[in-house]
Amino acid sequence: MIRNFLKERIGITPGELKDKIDEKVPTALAREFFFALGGIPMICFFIQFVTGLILGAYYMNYSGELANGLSATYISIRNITYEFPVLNYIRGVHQLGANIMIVSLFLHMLRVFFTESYRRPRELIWVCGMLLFFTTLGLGFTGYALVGDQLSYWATQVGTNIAAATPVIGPFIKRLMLGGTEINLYTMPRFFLLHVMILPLLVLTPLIMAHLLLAREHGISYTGRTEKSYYSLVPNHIFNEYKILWVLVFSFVAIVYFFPPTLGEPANPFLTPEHIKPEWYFFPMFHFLKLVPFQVGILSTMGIFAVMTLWPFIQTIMEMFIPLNVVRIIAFTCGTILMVVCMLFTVLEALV
Amino acid sequence: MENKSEEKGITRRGFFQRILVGFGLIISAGATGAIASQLLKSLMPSGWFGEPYVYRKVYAAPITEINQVGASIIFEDKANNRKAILINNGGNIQAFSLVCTHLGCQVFWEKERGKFLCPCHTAVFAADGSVESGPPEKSLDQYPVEIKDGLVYISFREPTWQPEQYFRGEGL
Ligand code: HEM
Ligand code: FES
Repeated sequence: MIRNFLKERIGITPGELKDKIDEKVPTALAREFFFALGGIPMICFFIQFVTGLILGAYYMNYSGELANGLSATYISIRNITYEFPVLNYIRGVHQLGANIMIVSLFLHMLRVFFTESYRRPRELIWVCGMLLFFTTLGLGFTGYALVGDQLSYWATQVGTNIAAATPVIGPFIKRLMLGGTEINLYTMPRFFLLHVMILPLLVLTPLIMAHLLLAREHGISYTGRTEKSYYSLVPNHIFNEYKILWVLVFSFVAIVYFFPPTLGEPANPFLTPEHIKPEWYFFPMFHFLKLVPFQVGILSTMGIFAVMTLWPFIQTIMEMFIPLNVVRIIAFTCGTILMVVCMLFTVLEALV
Repeated sequence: MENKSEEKGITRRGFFQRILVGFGLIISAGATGAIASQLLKSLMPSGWFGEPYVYRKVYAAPITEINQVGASIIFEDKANNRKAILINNGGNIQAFSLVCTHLGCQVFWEKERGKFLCPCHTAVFAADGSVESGPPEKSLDQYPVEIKDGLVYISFREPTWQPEQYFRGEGL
């Protein structure tokens, strides 16, 4: 009955739909941690989406004074954190979800890089992945800016000034982001819009779809250790991801129970606190910028990002002139050096 | 039998059609560009190339407070977003912005050492605003100072775009 109803109206029955979506997934995705990592950022994104919607129902993006010298932004986050029931859990899970999303992206990228899964014909999957990574960093930055405490304010100030140092278009980008030459009342609405609408819906979601469709088109390049075998996407793999979702949700809630979110002093444009630091995932770049002259730092960071994004193509070009083995060694060395340097800078910055 | 040249080359009709389509494309590209640029412009309240700055002269302190060589006063007007330091550098009264020229943090004035320190990336500026160490490349911004009838005025360099004024509810 229902099947006929659907068939007649939308042209497809649930069974046919299942056959259409279903595909064979290497068992490794269920067995080996490093191969299961691609799904975790997506699950985190789902968690971010749900918690973000709820936060958005209480968040106010007016950074002008509301009462007692405090901004509406700050008061709204204070209420979320300390006044209303459940909302501090929502906020804590949103913060943790952002961090775990980035950690799992890092690990997923490492897995893909060191198994060389980005090689032809999968170059565009890698490019999409890099763009996803940058977008997620952008979400972290714009989200942090929404809080309205001291660290949030000064991270925004420093971050937008770094953007302003981009050659040629930098100052324009900064004014576009801030809605003026300095942080002003129109800055928060823009960051809010970026954080809840432009980056997640207009950028991240289409990128995820492209990433998944391309990955599906080419299949997962499996180079793991276990025997090569497959299981089905619908329902087995989806059910697996569903289980991971619940494991994540429960562990997030448990962690937030012991480490509830906090809120610092309200933003004060006239006083920079002694120890300002960006979120940990910006540490490598932040530390690098301290070590070299500013313009050099900005240009080389952008250069490194470009090389990383286009690496599969660069490697293909190198392979035309250099024997494959040598190219592999170069790729592994570059990747390892970058990884070690990033970890080192992160530790150094954390210790300062 | 049709003319053979029609198959290979361009007929007169086809030629005009192409020109027409070409024109159409150019005009619609122009229109799209014009609308897109207006949309983008609507997002730039301070203008394409940054807004012009204006100088606003503000009374800061009586001269007696800053008469001695080495004296300094921090002037702060939160409501109008104005902050500067007045320093008597060897009899010469100067006013500096406290915004670090590196990435915009607020520098601290260390009176005992006579230096400005930036907490963000540990820059040090001398009392005359010049960079002593750290990442900044420019000296601290200096504001013109005027002394009239024993009163010190600072001319703040400010953006013309001050959205606060639209939120004060005046004249509603
Ligand atoms: C997908 C990736 C996302 C990431 C990585 C992310 C990251 C962040 C971060 C780091 C913060 C600052 C948290 C804090 O210190 O309190 C934040 C805040 C916020 N986010 Fe997200 N977010 C994401 C998605 C979303 C979505 C989809 C929405 C809404 C639809 C949203 C709504 C909010 C709101 C309202 C805040 C301010 C409240 C608060 O700080 O607790 N976020 N986000
Ligand atoms: S902002 Fe002052 S040293 Fe970087």
